[in-house]
Amino acid sequence: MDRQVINLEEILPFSYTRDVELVPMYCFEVKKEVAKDALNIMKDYINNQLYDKYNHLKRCRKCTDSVQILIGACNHIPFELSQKLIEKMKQENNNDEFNDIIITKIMVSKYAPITRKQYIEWSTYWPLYFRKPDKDILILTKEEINKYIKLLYISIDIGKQFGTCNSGCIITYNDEIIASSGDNIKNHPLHHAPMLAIEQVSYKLRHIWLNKQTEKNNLQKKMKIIHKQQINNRDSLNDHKHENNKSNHNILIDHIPNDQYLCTNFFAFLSHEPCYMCAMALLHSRIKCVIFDKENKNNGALSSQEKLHCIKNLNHHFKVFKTIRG
Amino acid sequence: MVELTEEEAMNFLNIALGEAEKSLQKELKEMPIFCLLINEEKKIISSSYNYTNESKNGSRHSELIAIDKYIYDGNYEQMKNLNLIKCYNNNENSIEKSIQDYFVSLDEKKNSELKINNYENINDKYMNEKYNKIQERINNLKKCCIVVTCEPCIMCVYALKLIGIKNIYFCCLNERFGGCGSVLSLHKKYEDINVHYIEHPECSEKSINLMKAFYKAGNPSAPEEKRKRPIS
Repeated sequence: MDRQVINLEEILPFSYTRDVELVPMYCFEVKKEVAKDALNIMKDYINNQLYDKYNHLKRCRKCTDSVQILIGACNHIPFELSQKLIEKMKQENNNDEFNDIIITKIMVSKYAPITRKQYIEWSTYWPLYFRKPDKDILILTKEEINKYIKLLYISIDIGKQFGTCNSGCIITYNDEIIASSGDNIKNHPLHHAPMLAIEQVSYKLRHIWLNKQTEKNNLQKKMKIIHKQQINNRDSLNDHKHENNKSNHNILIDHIPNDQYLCTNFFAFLSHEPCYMCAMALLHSRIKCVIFDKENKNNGALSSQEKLHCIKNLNHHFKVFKTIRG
Repeated sequence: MVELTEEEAMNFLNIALGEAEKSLQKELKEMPIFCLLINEEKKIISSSYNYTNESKNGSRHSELIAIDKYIYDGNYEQMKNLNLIKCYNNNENSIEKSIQDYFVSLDEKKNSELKINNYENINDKYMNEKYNKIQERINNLKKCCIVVTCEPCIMCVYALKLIGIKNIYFCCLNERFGGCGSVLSLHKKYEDINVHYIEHPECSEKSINLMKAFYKAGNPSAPEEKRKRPIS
């Protein structure tokens, strides 16, 4: 017996979940009173060394009575800058005793933190800037989780009932099922469940389009009738047939907006993690969110082998969740 | 497994580019991509345009349609786009029955043209013959190669792997979706995919210019807010 689905876990880019990775750098320490001036003296040199890679690093760290100023990857300060710093510190000390700068090694985070958790943990090594990521982590409510798990079980059942290899997919809009399909892999290697569910959505979109064409033709016909001032039984019967067709088609296309484009704003629930073909087909179809159950270790394209939904070069991105079983 | 020389690939690419250009003339604009399926005798056994707009299905790329066209015969895609074939498996529809009905109507049409009455032939034996023919064709695809005017996307590269087509020839990179190196390198991940980028100035430039002409025109099927360029 399968363990029960108890929760859903978002599949995030690696950058959201990775541990801290440290690289060595160097800093020197000055008294609070001269920190601002020292930073001004050093800032161009620091930025030249770090360039764009390390914009997440703050340039100084405050201690109780002093401030540590980041130098960068080099463990020395150029002579001219060193002289300026010494001069400034002499002024502050009102004596000629000070004549050397002590440089110490530190470890800093190689990557910018993406989550609050990362920011808090990684800032213990060296202070960091935190910039909110483009895509926030989606926190599902308990009601949403339960609702999605039910829909997921429906896709699993459809896979068992109608799939030749027991995989299933449903596509929903506002929690209403728009399309559903089991796979047909044993008869056609490309008939995976998501491909067929997308095809059912397309079937309905074509119906909507055909209805529009029919209405347009009806309007033109009525214009001709009015123009000719002729009405006969045959045309009345034809209109009646069109009305019947329309009401019949409406059953098929309930819940779908009249101007729907592909699968925008639709959710997909899958019994199995989709392969590269299916994951990319969902992307081409502009799906909004994908929720799947069993991982596909060898060919899964949303978690196991690749995270297609996170690739920046692609022109559409969507949320992905997988089940957690108790 | 068929393998083309560079000259042979160039010849096929020029044929495909000539066809790709025609899709720009249509009222309903499609991405100007064309693909050819080449068999062991180096003859074209199937070919197709993209039909994502006509089919209202973002996954109907030329590679997938050419495969289905070969497996299911000529007007399968057109029948599907007229909603005369249902291609999904649930309580409303069995895909295999839908395809059987398609073949029955196809043969009825042929028989009526030949003025032959063969209704008695529609039986289990008839269906078994159809099924075996389809399976034979699916197996034949393993010996074929594919020539396409633009690098196949990630979906299509993986589909070709599932079908068993090993050699892919193209003359233009697909920076937005390419699965042969541009976005992902599926051919390095899986052993049985051989990529042949025919980088010839004339072919590549022609293919790129077709893309530019398409993008310049804009996609009339996309919603207003998603359309990045006005309709010309």
